[in-house]
Amino acid sequence: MHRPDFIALAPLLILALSAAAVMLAIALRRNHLSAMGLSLTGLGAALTALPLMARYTPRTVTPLLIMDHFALFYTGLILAATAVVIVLSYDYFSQKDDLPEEAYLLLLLAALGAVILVCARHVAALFLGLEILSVSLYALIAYTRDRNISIEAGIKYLVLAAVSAAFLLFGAALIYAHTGALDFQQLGALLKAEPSGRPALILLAGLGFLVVAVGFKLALTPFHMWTPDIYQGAPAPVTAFVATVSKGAMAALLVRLFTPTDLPHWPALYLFFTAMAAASMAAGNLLALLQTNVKRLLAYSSIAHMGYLLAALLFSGQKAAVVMTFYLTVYVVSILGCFGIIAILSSKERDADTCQDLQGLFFRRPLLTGVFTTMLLSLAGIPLTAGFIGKFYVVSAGVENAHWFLVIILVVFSGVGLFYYLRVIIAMFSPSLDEGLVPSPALPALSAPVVLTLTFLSTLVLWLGVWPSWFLATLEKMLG
Amino acid sequence: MSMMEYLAYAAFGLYLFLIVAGGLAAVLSKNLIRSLVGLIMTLFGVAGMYFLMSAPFIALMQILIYVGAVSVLIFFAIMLTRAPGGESGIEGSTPKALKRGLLALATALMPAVILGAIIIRKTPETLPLKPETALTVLGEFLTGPFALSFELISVVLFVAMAGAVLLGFERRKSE
Repeated sequence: MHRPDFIALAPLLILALSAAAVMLAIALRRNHLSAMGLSLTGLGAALTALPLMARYTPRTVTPLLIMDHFALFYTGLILAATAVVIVLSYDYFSQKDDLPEEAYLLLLLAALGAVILVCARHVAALFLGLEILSVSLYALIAYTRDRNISIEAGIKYLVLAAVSAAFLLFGAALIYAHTGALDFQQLGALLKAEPSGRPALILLAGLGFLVVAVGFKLALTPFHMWTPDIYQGAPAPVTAFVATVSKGAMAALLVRLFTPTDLPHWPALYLFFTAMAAASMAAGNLLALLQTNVKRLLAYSSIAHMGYLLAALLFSGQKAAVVMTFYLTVYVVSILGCFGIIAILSSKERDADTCQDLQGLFFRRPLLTGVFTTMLLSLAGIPLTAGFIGKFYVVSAGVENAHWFLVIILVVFSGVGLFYYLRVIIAMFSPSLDEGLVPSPALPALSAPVVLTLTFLSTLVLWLGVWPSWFLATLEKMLG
Repeated sequence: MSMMEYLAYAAFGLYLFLIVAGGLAAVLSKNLIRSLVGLIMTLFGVAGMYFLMSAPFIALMQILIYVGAVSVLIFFAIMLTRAPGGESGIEGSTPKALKRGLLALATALMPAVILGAIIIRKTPETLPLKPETALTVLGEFLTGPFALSFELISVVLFVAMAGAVLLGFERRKSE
């Protein structure tokens, strides 16, 4: 490894170093504020390193990683999302635990795993990144260990993630047995050269197993069963992290893995992906209708959103990276806002995740209600919010390439989705049922960083919804 | 077939038996210690497979690290912790024994059936075994082009350790 290699690895090195720094700081003296400050400083330093190293890219660092514009953008997204999660979780963790500091250590390491995933160009890097991410998430999901529901979620995630990792390894072994390559680029070339129509069965099985592992992480139907339980059981900030960073990194990987393989060339795989996308949109939206718990509701809605994302991959061929990245960025911003507000409203004993908790919120907390409403409308895809533009691009790509089946499913189930988002919004704006009977729990005052972050997130959603051309042009320049 | 080939098949069968029987014992046994013994048996079987694939170094490491160190560690963990009492989950989602068995069987059989079907439909050609890879080559590979993966594995182990200590440590405190 040479000097430019180390410069190209700067964000990873900074993240690892700041994790070590946080750990040492905790060992010397426990202080919640300083642990959070250190983590944010580390994330900030890694973020500032990104534009500085842009001129060293694209660069392949060892056979494992590649730092190109795609990796840079997603690294930035992951770092920023992690920073937002940390800011919004400070109050949550400080009222809750005797030991809140280690959460930041684990969050930093999980972010490191996610960054490795988006820079991966080799199956070994994919597996290692996935493991770093998953293992930190086991502990994070079970972090509020005084709640049984949290421990249960942690165990469920452990078992299922281990099974999916086994699928990934087995799939990689089968692919290697047939092609002798584990490098994405080489693999893509070899897969392209494979005779169309009748690919070798062993290769198909290997790819199938790989897709199972990816599908599990993204919670695509039929591998979605874990999502509601884990979303509900995990502490709200961790749920935000799982929903944004972990899924975002995996979606980025999906783009990297399958853009060079030319999916339509593989009818079996193409059909499988189409079925998964359609099933995710249908199951996610329909099952969300039955939920009264907001975290579970958002979990099912995230299944549907991953379905839209997969549809974007199938629709847009060469432009897939741009369309998916736009959609994913919007989704990340909106979901961070939603779970951030749930984290703020949560009390020491439990998360504020039922519709009753939100009943009449508008009269107690107009600012929070406004932000939450914006985020939910964005997820539902209402015009003037970023979510609409994201969905619009996906649909227009689908119409351009005449993928009528998926387009129709997408539009129909987006309509269904409106209903449950609106139900949450209506609950927030209707007067409290128990007004006067039970005094509503006194909510702590919002700290300045939290207000700033929430304002930033909602401004972003509205700005991208009203004037998306700048961001789209940037994306096209970077990824196109 | 030569004598050696028969021997190889016999050894393969033996190792396969060790792996499957050990795995079943690990999962089915109610006693944690017996489960552990089953796990050790499986690990021995896997080591045997490495020998069969002419990777004696990996095989020896498998025995040294997994059978020697990791199993002993698990053994100590079992001895030092009390037997878990176990509460039923909030979801009440523990299925009936029959359903549980069927689900487990279905999950385990899915890959087996897919692979079995592939092998029956189109038997892959036997790959010639490469001669044993020299240790120095292996070492240079791991510290040269794949040095980064080496580092990343250490991060994985660190995260696992940090998470386990964190959850275990706090648990004791809250009791």
